[in-house]
Amino acid sequence: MRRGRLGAAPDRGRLGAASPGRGRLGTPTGRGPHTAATGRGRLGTPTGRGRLGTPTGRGRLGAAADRGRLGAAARCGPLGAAVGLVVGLLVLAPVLGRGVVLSYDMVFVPDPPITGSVLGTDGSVPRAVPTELLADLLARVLPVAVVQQGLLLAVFVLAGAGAARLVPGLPGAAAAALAYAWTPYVAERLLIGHWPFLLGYAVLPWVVGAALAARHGGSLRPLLLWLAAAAAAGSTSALIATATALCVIGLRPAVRFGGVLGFAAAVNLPWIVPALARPGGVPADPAGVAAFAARSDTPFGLAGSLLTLGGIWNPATVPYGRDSALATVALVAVLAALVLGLRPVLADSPGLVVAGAGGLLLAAAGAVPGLDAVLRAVVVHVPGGGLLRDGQKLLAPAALVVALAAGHAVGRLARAPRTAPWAVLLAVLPVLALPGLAWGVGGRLAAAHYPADWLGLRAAVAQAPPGEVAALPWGTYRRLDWAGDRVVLDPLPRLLDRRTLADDALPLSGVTVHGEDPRAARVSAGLAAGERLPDLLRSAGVRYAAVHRSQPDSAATERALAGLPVLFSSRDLLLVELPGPTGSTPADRPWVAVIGLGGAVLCLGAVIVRRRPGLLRSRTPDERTGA
Amino acid sequence: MLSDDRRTGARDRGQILISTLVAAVVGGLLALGASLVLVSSASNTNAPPVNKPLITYDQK
Repeated sequence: MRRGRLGAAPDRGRLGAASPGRGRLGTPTGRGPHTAATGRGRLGTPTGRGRLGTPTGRGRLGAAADRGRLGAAARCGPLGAAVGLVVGLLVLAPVLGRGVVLSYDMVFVPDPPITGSVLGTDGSVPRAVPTELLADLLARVLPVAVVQQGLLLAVFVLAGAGAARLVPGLPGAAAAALAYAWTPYVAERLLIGHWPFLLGYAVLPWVVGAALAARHGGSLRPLLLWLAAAAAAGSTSALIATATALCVIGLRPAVRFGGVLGFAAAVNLPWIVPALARPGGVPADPAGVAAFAARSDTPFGLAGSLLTLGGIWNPATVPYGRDSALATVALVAVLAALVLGLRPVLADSPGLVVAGAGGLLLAAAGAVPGLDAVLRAVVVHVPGGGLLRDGQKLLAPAALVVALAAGHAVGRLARAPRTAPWAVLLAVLPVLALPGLAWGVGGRLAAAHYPADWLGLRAAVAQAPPGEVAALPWGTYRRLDWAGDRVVLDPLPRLLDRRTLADDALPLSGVTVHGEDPRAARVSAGLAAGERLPDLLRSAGVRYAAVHRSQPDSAATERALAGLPVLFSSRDLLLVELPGPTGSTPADRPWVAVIGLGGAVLCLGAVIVRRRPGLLRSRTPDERTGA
Repeated sequence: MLSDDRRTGARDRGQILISTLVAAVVGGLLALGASLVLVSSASNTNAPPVNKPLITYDQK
């Protein structure tokens, strides 16, 4: 429902205008003006902007040409969606219909409770606000596995359709869709479980399309709605989308720039308010800058890895083949795309290219001497600077630039019979360069069903008197035998309908990046100092301890809790009560959600119900100059 | 005797054929390489060792 509304809005005016002539103009004859518009002559002229489906070219190209172009654009989106769907099915085939996927930070639980963590009211860092809330609400009406797999599939479909709409001609559109949906970035972020980033990645081309339309005199409403969609995909997605949109629309007129920025801030209130209102702010461990800096995952070093849209900090989430000779294919594909197709992208949207270059620079910053010190200062001292810590995620605009360049390059090669075979080869190079994305990222994604005792533990906690739960053994990540023994963030805090104290430090090989929860830090320090576990937990305000019995340190944890009242016990899980007085816990602050979510909904609602398009329409250059 | 147009057409067809063949050979070789990588990766997907002293974020 949401997607339909948001997706339809940007196209409605243009497609409606195109419909009278679409049948006729959709034929090869009708593609004439469109094809002409993609030729060299267009590159240096303002009419070239019309290629991206923006209304600007309408007056210059003439109505017939416009309808032809729009008819083609109308077909490019569905073609891109189809390409994205095929890619999504190829990638997700091993997990579809087989339960939930648990991989690193990707944790979905059955019947997820709406907790203070999801709403941002419990004082935790609002990393997943409001994305998890929206997913959890969907999971109220659909099985959680369906929700998760639907969201993951939507990433590919939205990404493919969005990229395809920005390139003229069906061959180029299909190539752009494939180049944007099949990247190391997608593989690495999927494997590490950053599905909200991927939703933002999928929304980005729609944001760019709407920003281009607004820049050329179209309505601002589609852009605002897509920025709201990006905000729904979380802070990182919103940051990338907003920055890219602002680059595309440009600084002038300042009112439009300020309006877009203000609206973006308003729809991001759901995570901004909890972050600002958090006692002690959101402290960032400076060690995280180096630990989460982009790394080389190809033989071509950091630059080559980032240029080929990989380079995630975590070597465990690099898809197979990145360190092989296939990386050469990836580099050739990117260079060929840029050499043959960057020029029209630059002509269409210099702001997008600027955003891509900026993202590339920020992605590399954590690993470049000199820049890393600047980044560290920003991460540690600037509110919200922590969003830049894992810099490789900021490659999304660069990935879009490369995909659009690939689309233009393929479109250009496809126009001549002699070069058409090379167009086919260039179009499929992303797949040949990264076969490891197929079939669940080379078999590394798997689906599983939660065992019955997990739900039994949840029921036992729900029936127990009020009190906070601690997830033990004290550690952030688990290997669950029923989920393939893959590393995954402990699902217990998401599963239980209680505030759950868990270790939030990020243990890496050689270094631990400290978390932000001061109570968790006290427990960690107490354990390191050899304090008694029950006393330590009670002083931290914990009344119950939920123990994974098949994790490292499980035996020692159980010994430390021996003799305490057992509320639930199974082969894998144990729940005990810690009798006695407990320390105080931070109070929930519902006003945070009221202000954050309420403010965002009000702003979004104002844009949706606004009936006077003139108020949301940018002025065309002609209108601005009075021509 | 062939006209200039027909000679040009034949030359074009020849060039298209050569171009297609070269692209197909290159694509085929790349597909073969990609398949080999995929097959080798598939044989590497066994469960990692469990019960390491500490489960870290960067373990496979």
